[in-house]
Amino acid sequence: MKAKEIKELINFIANSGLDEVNIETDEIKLHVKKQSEAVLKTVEQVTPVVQQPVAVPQQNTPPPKKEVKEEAPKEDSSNYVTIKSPMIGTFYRSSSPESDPFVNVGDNVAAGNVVCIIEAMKLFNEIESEVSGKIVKVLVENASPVEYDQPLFLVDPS
Amino acid sequence: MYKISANTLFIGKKYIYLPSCHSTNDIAASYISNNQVLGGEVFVTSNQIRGRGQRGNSWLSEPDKNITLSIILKPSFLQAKEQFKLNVAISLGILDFLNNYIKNGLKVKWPNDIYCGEKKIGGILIENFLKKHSIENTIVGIGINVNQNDFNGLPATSISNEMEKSYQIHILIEHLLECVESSFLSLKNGVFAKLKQTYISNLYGYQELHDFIDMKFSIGEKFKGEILGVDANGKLAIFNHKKQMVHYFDFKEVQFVNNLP
Repeated sequence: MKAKEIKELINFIANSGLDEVNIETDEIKLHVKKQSEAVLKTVEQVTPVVQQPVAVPQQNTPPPKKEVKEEAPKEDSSNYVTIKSPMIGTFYRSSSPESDPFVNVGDNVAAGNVVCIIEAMKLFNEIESEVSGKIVKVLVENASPVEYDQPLFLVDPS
Repeated sequence: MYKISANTLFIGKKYIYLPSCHSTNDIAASYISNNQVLGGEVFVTSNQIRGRGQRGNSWLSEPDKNITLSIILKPSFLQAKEQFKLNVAISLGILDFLNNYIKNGLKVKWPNDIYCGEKKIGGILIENFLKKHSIENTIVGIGINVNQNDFNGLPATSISNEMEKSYQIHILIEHLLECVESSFLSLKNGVFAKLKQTYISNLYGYQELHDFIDMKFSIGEKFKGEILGVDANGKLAIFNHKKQMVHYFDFKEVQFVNNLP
């Protein structure tokens, strides 16, 4: 089942007036439950089918935002610059749980642009890019712990 | 509220008052991105609509009754990894200020909540802007409950609740800025060892037996322990009585029982 089909199905159920729907096939289990205006659903693949990222708009309990991991282009990556963590702490890609990430893969950043926040003992640190370039890869999952000097982003400065 | 005359060297020389705003830290952040910052700029509001606490939490304050302000500092003498020192200095500045009004029961609940007895009276939100490995600018957001008397059953209190009288906010702000500046200058002048000792001895639960919940080693397990101090990163050192060991906890790796914020 493709992400688009799942999305269409969710929209259909959302507009149907049904409160709860369970669908189970050989390759997929889908549970959709309406809570007031929010739609909560979990997708579980049972048999090993081709893994594909499924965009899941979750509205009730937002977990750490899922990173969309993109492979770095298969070219010489030795020119890439890493943005490293200046401290031990927790890595956040956005300024608050509700807001968009500061940067995504493919975005251009200028030196001095904020790329993430590292929280350490309730102190919040806005980390700036030291170089201008394009974000090639995000190396750390949102809301995960980072060490001193741990690489956070790969930037193509060319 | 429009003007103050704090007896300070640099904090509050630039004083910006907003009758109401979402968050003084946000105002200060946009000031930093649009202006040449000297350090010491203060942003005050009487009505903070969307005050922020730690990530995702809010800071609630009734209009005109409390102190809600942000100060821009330039602690370029500190490395990014030394930032807990800033937390120590600011917490002690606020404690000094409150000690002039309330004589007993004031503590810093690690890492930076200010408590009177079992109730929260003040909070701090520090946001640093780093340049490579040093701290270029810092926004210190401070909320202190002054004349608010009703907290909807939350474990919170105010200076007025404790002392049973009301206060003029702008005079308290002047005094607060003086205390914070003095503590910040002590840090700048390199007397951190003394500040750290004062901070530790004023920690809520210091050298007392308390119940904690472990969120690091055996998640969710309650244990009896004693706070011994903090390490260089600001981690809390607790002596676990059952295991007879000292454990170091990051914020979120341990919770205080009975008094969950």
